[in-house]
Amino acid sequence: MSAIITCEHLNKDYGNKKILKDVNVTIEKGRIIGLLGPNGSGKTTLIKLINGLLVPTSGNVLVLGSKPGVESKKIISYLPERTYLPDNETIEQIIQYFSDFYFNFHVEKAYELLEKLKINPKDKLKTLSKGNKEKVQLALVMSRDADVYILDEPIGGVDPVARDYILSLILDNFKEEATLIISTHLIADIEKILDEVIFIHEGKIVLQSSADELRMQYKGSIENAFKEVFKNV
Amino acid sequence: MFRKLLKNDLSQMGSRIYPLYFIILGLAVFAKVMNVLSSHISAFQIIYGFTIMAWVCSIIIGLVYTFFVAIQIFYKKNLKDEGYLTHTLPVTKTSIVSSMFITAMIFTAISILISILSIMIAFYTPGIFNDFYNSIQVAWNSLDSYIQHFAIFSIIIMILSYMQLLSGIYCALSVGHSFSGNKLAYSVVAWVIIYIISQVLNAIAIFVLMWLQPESIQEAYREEVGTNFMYGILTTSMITNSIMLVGTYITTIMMLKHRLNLE
Amino acid sequence: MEFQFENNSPIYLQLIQKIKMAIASGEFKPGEKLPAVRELAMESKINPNTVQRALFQLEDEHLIFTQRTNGKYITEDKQKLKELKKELASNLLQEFLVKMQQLGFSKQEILEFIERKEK
Repeated sequence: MSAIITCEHLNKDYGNKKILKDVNVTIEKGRIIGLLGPNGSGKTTLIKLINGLLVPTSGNVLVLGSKPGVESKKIISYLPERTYLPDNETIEQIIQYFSDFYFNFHVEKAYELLEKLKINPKDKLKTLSKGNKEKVQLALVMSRDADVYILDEPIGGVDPVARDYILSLILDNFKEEATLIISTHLIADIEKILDEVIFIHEGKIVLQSSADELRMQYKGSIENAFKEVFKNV
Repeated sequence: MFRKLLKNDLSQMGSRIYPLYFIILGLAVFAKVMNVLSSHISAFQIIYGFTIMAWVCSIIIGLVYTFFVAIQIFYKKNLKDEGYLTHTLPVTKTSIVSSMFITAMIFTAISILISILSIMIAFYTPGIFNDFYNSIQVAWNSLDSYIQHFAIFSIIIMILSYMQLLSGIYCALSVGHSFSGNKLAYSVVAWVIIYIISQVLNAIAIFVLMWLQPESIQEAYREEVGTNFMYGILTTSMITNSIMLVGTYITTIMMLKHRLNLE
Repeated sequence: MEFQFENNSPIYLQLIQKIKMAIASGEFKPGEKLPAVRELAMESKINPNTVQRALFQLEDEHLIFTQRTNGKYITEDKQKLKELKKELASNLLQEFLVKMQQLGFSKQEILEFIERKEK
């Protein structure tokens, strides 16, 4: 029962637009958590705040008790919702880059995953299709032995066949006692693997509950619970 | 960690800049060849002329291009999508900024050296390197010591000005980016403010100089280029440049640390 | 050992049912060692904590036991296994009867229907 990430009265504005409103959330170690909400609900913004890519307008986001910084970045492996790796480099070069800066990055594992995904490491990123670029990014993120994995829409742009495969890849490769946060709007595909769900809507946390409790409470799937809850919001 | 950042930044900027060096040196070699040929066949005179023009252009463009690439790399790696990679690395913002800045300086120096080297190649005669070295030595020794000082100060000031310019642009970009809305517009505003601050600083410095060294004013008034005056001006210039450099540098780091805004 | 799960009821309850079926039908033999939690989770693509929870409950019901040299094992208690079969059968029967009554069959009609089916 130890918290690894806490948000206290967290607010984030972009100019006049309020994106996150008084978010209070605690994430315990070792859980698989679904951050679920419609597009534009603030999932990505919350994730970026945890990763230190944004600063709060007011309130706190703390990782292991401190603001995001060098120490938190060592233990968090983050998959952004966009392609962000330098296009001109080969995959090999990027693997080298990751291995240079992350002490918990396993080069052999990365190559293994790429082989399973049938991607040639000598290719330049810009020659890959969008789907393959996303797979490369995922492979790199999962090749780290991190304490927290944060995946922002890992199955968003992917066809249904690949989705299953990606979920297996995630489950097979994350460190056992690690915390996994998955944000998505495709609930049905991932709900079986979740310990806990957090529903977010228009920047506010609507609920946080264990997955099975929620199923019992709403007598159905998480996706149904989601529809029920958001009908009334 | 810092060394790894530096290694990566150097190789990244290098791959953008090396083709330029090939072009500059290549054109210089080509020019020399044309020079030799044109002394035998007059038809080559025209080609020689064009080549020299192209080579001179390549040097000018090259120096500007180096500066431009330095800024572009800073912007892309920090404030665009690649920022997601840069700013989730477990390194301090100070190392990130310093690595890019040092890389930019190194390549600026190399660009200048390559340009000088290409001059010597284009006008190569056996013994040119020795002649060049000797003539500089002779010229230097013929100068009075205070003029030598002025020369050294001036070179330092030029270097500081360039560093301040680059750091100022880094700063303006970082400040502008921390706002929502039209980030480029805010960056321009920030740049203008930085410029105004540097001018104000210069004005203050002149006043301080006048106050500390009244003789300087008298010299200037009498339109004598007094050595006191020159020392004063050059020193003040070095100081204000240094202050602006340090100020913008630290502000850049602070912006990235506390106001990072990768929307 | 790969199980398929539905989204619309608690996963841990579904897993408990499936393991009970596997034990009762002999797919998991008495005394056999269960696959590790992580393996069960990965093969069925569910959460390891969910698997833990299911296994704890099964242990509470004395259908599996933990040996100190790690690993969980199916009980060899014949009485327990008989009771399990009865429990599962009784649940199935209950479900069947309820549904048949919804279709409008009386108890007599149900019995006749079964006899005819068996011929």
